[in-house]
Amino acid sequence: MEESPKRNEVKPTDEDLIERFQQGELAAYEEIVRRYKDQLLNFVFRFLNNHEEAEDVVQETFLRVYRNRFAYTRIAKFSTWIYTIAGNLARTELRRRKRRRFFSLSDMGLEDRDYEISDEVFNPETQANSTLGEELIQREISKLSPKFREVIILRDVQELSYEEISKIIRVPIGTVKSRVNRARLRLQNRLKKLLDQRK
Amino acid sequence: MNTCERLSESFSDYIENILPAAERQQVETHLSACHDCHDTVARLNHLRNQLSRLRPVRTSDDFTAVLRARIKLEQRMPRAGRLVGARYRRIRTAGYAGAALMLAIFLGYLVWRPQTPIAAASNLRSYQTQGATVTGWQADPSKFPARISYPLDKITPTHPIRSASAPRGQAPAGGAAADSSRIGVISTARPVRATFISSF
Repeated sequence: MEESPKRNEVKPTDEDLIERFQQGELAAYEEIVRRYKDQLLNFVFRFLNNHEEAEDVVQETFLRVYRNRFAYTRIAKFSTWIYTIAGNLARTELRRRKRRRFFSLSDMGLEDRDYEISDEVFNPETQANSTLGEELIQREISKLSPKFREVIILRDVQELSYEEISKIIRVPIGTVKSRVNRARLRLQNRLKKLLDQRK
Repeated sequence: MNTCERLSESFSDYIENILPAAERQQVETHLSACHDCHDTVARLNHLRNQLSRLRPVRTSDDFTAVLRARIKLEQRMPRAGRLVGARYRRIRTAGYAGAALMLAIFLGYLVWRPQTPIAAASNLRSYQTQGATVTGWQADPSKFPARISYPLDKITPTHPIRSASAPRGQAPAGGAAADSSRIGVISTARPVRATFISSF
């Protein structure tokens, strides 16, 4: 009995897809978008703490991939390449936001308002004693400096390897490890303080 | 740097089980003796688990459709696609703000423009001269001759006339002729000629 052709089909790698896209196959590009859109959104959203801005950045990332598809060469992993683009755009967006905030104090994001609502941080009815709410964790992540924020998201949320993070942010692995450690310690300290206030 | 600080640099590697055996042993010995560090490591472990379990966020339903539209736009107008999205919204908002500012400056100028001789003269906007209306002083002052004379008996003001020195909205008192050397004044004392002297 003949096996269906689909069963023998091997899932193409990202690198195969971008190569096919470079040869003009638009379906390969759409498959890349399908594979990475949520993954990148999670990274950028945790970084910017704003869903709308994060979606814009991810859209822009895919547009850059579309425009600069021939700039990709197979010597690098595709995921590293696309994460680097998204990371650069997210950092640019963060700088823009700071400029906008400088000119308009009323344009305050969640990250800014957080400082004003420290008494309302915990809702005992919805949060168990030792478990911190996701929103609180997200908010505390967004208070970390961008260089710590980026590595802790890539390592602990996206679960990328140190090697890949090192390539994405273009710093040595030792520096990445050190940043991840410091980011975790800082985040843990802040969350501990909040828990202590709650008791 | 005390032992706690020094060893805390290895805590991440320790909880990820990537610390070399000798260092691992060192950390474990310290953790068994130091309650604070033991507590910190436990929290770090817990935090790492929590971060890996954060609920994933999803792109909105129209994400792919919007992206396709942007790519189509990009294909037709290579630079246009770059203006869609947040940047486009910001540029559009800045455009609206700029237009509003220009309008406000223009309106402000119209309301508070200084009382130059021309502006003062503009109080004499319209006069009936035997059925015809003389208008357009400020419409095109350059076309207005330096000195114009009209027979006064044929001129009827259609709104109150004031001298340049009189407060706005007030007609000059009987002695308007006293100010006839200034601009925009009609002398009613001598019904022979009215002399309008422009400042040009």
